[in-house]
Amino acid sequence: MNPILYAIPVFLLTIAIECAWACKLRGNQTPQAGGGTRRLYDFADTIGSIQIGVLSRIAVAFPRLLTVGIFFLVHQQFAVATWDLQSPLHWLAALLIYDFFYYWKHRANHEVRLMWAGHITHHNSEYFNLSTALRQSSTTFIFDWMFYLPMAVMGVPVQMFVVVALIDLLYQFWVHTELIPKMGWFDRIFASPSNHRVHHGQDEYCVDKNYGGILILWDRVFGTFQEERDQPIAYGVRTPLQSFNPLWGNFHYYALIWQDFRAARGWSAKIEALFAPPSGWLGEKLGSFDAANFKRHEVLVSPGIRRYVLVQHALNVAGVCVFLLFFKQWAPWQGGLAAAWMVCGLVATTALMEARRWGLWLEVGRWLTAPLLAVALWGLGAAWF
Amino acid sequence: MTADAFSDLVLFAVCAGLAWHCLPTERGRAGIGVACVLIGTAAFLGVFRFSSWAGASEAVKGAHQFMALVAAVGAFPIWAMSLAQPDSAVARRLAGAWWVAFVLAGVGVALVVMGVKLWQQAVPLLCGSWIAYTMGVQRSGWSRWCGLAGVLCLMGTFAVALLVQTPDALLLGQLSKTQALHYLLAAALLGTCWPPRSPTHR
Repeated sequence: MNPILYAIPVFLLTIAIECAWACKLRGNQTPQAGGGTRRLYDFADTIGSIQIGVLSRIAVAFPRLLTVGIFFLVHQQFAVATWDLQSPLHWLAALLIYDFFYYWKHRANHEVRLMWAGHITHHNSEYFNLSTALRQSSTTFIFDWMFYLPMAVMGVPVQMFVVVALIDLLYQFWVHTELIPKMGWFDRIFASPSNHRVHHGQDEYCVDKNYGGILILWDRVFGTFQEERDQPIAYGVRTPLQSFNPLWGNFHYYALIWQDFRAARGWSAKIEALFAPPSGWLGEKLGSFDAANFKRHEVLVSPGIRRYVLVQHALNVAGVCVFLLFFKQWAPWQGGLAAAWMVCGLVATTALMEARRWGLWLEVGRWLTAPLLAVALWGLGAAWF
Repeated sequence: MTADAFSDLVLFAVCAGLAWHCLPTERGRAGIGVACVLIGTAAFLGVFRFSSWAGASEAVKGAHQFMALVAAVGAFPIWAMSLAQPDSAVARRLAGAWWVAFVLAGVGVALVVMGVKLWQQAVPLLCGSWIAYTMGVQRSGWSRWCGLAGVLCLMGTFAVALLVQTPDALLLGQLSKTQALHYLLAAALLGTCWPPRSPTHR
């Protein structure tokens, strides 16, 4: 069974606890960059982040076999050593090596446009709480697997690789919070909430810092470490998304790259459009950050819509659990159909929050076709086609 | 040390020398440097693989084959791009060259392990043709002749790789297939990359 299935309830419960804690301790308020206060949790942002997380689980379900399969094939053909699955020392070494390559993967995700296009989804939120951790990209799998191929050559078995990857991923959940202050010596060795707040900031001193997954030591070794300062951080990116649509959140930067790619003259300029750092080779595209005039993307959601969105959101989360549970039993066309129906739900829910009229029609259409989907998935089976 | 290991040592030395010369930012030839680092790493592992040291040969065999594959599908395109457009970001900037090589290598490795074995031969062959065209069109004077000699060696590498089927065959009565490949590739790198060309600064 997919271990993420077990993690989903834990994630949601801890988000609820953090939200309650934020409300009780600080009245859901925190000082903001440029003066004044802001909310720690925003309804639309939280829903938007979790919906993006749901979308990512659906998206990565399809190519997972392919990416792990490449690791397996490289291991089979080039492995230089045999690792012992019973040895705790080997597990520890594998986790350390994975974390090292994770650092470089994460750094590339920030320093190469084509990879930033996927990772930007995680950074688009202008809030920083546990729901931001779930805001995972649906497209970073395209390049991620390449970074870990040396592990396959080293001989790390696939089972060990999958488990340490999961440990590294799950570790990073808890560092997405503003409620845990600096932690002294821990901040100097491990990735921590303080270190990761810097990573998500768009203030001058925060950009492209603290990439470490479990160990922040890698940042110290490779010169990208930055300690948190005693001033409120403005979270998000310099070119704000201004939307809660999970599809647009995942693909807007690809659209920008495509425009630049088409406009570029000659192959070397086209390669630059794909591989240059997002801020340009000399940081010329980064622009300056004006904390005083920074405004978050906020929408007013009426109580009625809020209740409806909350119910639909709960159904979407339950839906992705069903999807992950049954995905392997379905034929590809059934999986594709279920995924498309769920993506429509995610898009419609966020469109309703933004008071977009087409969101209503999409939602109506989706529910009208729900019985057909149920019949296609469980009623008729693959023989129907 | 065996003759095969020595030939890899020579290739490694050539790559290390070129990388040492090209990698510093002010030289603006990072692309060539990155290509040499990748080919040189494969050669370095090859020294151990073909050595007579007990245990070393088997221990690095997989890593050597992997790096040789990475060099073929990742380093050759960077080498060709850097020569064809020496003022491009791929040729001048370390990060540009490195990430393009990385992605090309990743895609190449994936294709080859999934069964598209032809990729490993096709990419160097196409890049070799591109380098030949570049040497003929863009260079002049002794640099051109040097480049064309390098291209001849590169073509010789491909000829040996494709035509000599038995690893034990002796070429020119002296060289094994492995040695010929390594010496020709080293000569090709020197011929095409060595004349220090200063790119126009942007």
